Amino acid sequence: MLSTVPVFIFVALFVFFLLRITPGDPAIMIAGDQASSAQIETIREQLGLNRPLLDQLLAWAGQLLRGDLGRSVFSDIPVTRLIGQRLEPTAMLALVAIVLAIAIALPLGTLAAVRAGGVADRIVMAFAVLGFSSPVFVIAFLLVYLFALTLGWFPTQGYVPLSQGVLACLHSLILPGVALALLYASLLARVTRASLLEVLSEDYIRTANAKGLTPARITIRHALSNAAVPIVTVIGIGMAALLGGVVVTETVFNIPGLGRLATDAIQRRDYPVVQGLILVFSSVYVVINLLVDLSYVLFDPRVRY
Amino acid sequence: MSMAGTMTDTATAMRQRPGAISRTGSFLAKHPVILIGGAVLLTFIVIALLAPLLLPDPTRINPVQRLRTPSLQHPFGTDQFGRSTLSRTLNGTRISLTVGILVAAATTAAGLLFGLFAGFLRPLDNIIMRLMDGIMAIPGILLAIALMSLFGSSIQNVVVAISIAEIPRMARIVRSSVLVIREQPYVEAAVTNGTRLSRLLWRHVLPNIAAPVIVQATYVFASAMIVESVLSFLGAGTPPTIPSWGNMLAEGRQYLQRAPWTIAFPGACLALLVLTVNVLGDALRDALDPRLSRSGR
Repeated sequence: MLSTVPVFIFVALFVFFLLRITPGDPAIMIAGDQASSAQIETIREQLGLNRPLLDQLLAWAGQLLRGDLGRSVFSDIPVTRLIGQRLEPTAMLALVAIVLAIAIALPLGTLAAVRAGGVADRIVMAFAVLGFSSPVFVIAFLLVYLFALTLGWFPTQGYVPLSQGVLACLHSLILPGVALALLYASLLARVTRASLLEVLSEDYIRTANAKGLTPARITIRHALSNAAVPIVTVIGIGMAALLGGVVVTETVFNIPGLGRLATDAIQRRDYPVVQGLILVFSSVYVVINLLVDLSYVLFDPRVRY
Repeated sequence: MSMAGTMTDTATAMRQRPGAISRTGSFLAKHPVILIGGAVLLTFIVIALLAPLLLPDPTRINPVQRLRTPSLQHPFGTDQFGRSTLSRTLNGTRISLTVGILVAAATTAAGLLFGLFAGFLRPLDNIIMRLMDGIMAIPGILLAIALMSLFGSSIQNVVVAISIAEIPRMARIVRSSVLVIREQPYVEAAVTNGTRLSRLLWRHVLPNIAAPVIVQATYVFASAMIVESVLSFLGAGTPPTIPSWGNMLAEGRQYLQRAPWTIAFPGACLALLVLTVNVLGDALRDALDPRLSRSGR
């Protein structure tokens, strides 16, 4: 658990130095080509780039410890508030995608393992490789073309906030959720199958069979619960792909979340926002993986912390 | 992690001996998926090499022929500037393959370097691996976008940005294989015999970690092509004047309803190429070391 602390420190340092190690003057780069020297000076002042590096580093560390991510160069709004405003759509999108992915992957992966080598197994695994190989935005365009433009079942883009009703919100998130979930589901289905296959060859499964338990009970109670650790691990590791996919999905579907904030900030060279977002995304990833590690206790009583 | 423990046999089998061609032939006959995947990949490579010679200039604008549906004259239709989608799609193969191959090579080289150092020089292990953990904690696409926003858009920078995000996983794989191999009796014997470090690594370590590294390299190859298209799509990748698949998808976005072919062809090619490389990776993994396939991916 303590190992997450150095990771946080590293990410913070990395984000700090990212701007400083680039060739050329970061203030000029943020201000853009047309900026006057006064504007450049203002930005340099604002970001403290004119002070010694060690001072800058200490100031940055102090800020972080107080939960202050600085202010946007573009709008002068505190980065934490900008992130707070955009949090809901991203959280909802990620949630819908995770739930969909697990709902798709667990049954299909189990089916593939139980029928290993059969037709069902081949079909599921073929779809898994296909899903794994299709870029999020290619899937997204296909879904939009079929279900929004041609059939008209879902909106082509946009996000309905939770305050306007849960169902309306979910309806606006179905297409982006599916587009985002397929990659994740492919990954999960493969691991579910592999992990189950290993467990199904164990002695206690033969025992369970011998004492006449139903196949459903054996698969769920005896096999799946023992195969859970690798599956849950991949749910955690797959978060990196999911969070990356969020950035793309939000751009394709015009969802005003953190991913859109990131691409907008990068195009405007709004560096404090970019730094803040990298920190937030990485923290989410690290914390989720920490929770995954802790959850092993639930699945495997041998694990102790 | 005992992945590399029993790879001695496969590595020996892979070493060049007389009759390499017939051995390759029988290897391919035994693994038809590798043969088919290899053929498709080779086709893409040939297309990439020949496209600029045989097809009209992919950047030539023709305002009269805007957004034409696919026809005999324009088999893949034209885009909003009247440029041939066929020519742009096939020329786009060059960008994807170039980026994929260069990233796979750079990642393998750097991953081997870091992994060997971490595995053999214990004091460095903690420093290198914490560094890798830190990079891995940043979602790859976000890291690549951030790096691109600093570097500026060019193909060279795309390769560097994607490689930085991919290196940690390769380094981990190399390190975990090395940790197993360094304890093997034949390594101890070589050390006792006073073998030079360079010879030890080249003759004894490298052949035995080759299988997982080659397999991972194909996955990096596939993933790099996706990330390149994503970066270009978001406007932070290949310069927009160059016809890459990501750029085509970004430009075709507004015309999804009127001219779906501007998106369908580059999208399908991208998916097919990535699929081919991923399938090749899976098949190689099963062929080179059946033990690896059990742990899934």
